[in-house]
Amino acid sequence: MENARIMVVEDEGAIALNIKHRLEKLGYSVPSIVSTGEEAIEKIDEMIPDLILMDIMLKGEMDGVDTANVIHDNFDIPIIYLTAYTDENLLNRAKMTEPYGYIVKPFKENDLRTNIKMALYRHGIDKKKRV
Amino acid sequence: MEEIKVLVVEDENIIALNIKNKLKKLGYTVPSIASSGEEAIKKADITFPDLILMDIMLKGDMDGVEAAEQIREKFDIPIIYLTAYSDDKILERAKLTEPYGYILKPFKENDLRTSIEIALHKHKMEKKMKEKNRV
Repeated sequence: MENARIMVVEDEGAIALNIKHRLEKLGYSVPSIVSTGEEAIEKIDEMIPDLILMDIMLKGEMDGVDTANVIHDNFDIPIIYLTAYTDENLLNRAKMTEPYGYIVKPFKENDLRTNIKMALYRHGIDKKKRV
Repeated sequence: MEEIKVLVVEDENIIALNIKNKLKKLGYTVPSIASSGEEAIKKADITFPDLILMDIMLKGDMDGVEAAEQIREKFDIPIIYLTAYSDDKILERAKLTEPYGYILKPFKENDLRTSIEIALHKHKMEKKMKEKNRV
């Protein structure tokens, strides 16, 4: 999918901008960056992203996994985690949200590109299977 | 933890051993390594892996994507690509095989671990869903 719309959920401003910049270079559009889980959920309806890149450690009450859980239950949008954290507990919680990818920071542009491509394609197939 | 068997398909010996060691350190079992697509298909059949790590450039007539295609037709085993290649042509072919992950070399142990854990869980959930639909 060219020009897919990607929502970036990341609470560190400089990192968020860096991700946005890389995504745009890859041909994706990033209509907005949100820094908390609450804000992410709020903005989904208006942004209608094709995919969400989710940091795990976030400002606010909800972390990225809590947020992904709510999104997984209420929307049909593929999520890729993008995080520096990989401890067992976190990974166990994260996998329950059935993400379409888990990118460990630091990452390269190509990690983003391959993961997003695979996720968008696979999500399309999953959708068809469900119908 | 139950034993999780990972089949490694990789034609460069030293890299294969390195992957095997990383997997073992993470607690997975690596019953065997295949260095060609043909061998991968054979070993998928006889070693019952829970997951396959597939290189794309392989010895022999078949590359990793072709091997994945055939494995997907015959068995219900999740595949994760592990490759240095990410050009569009290969990606386009690879994604049609619906892999459970795509890890780019060079990779870290944690890339392996997170991708494998998520793939296994996802595959389990899909299996459950399929069974539910059958009933």
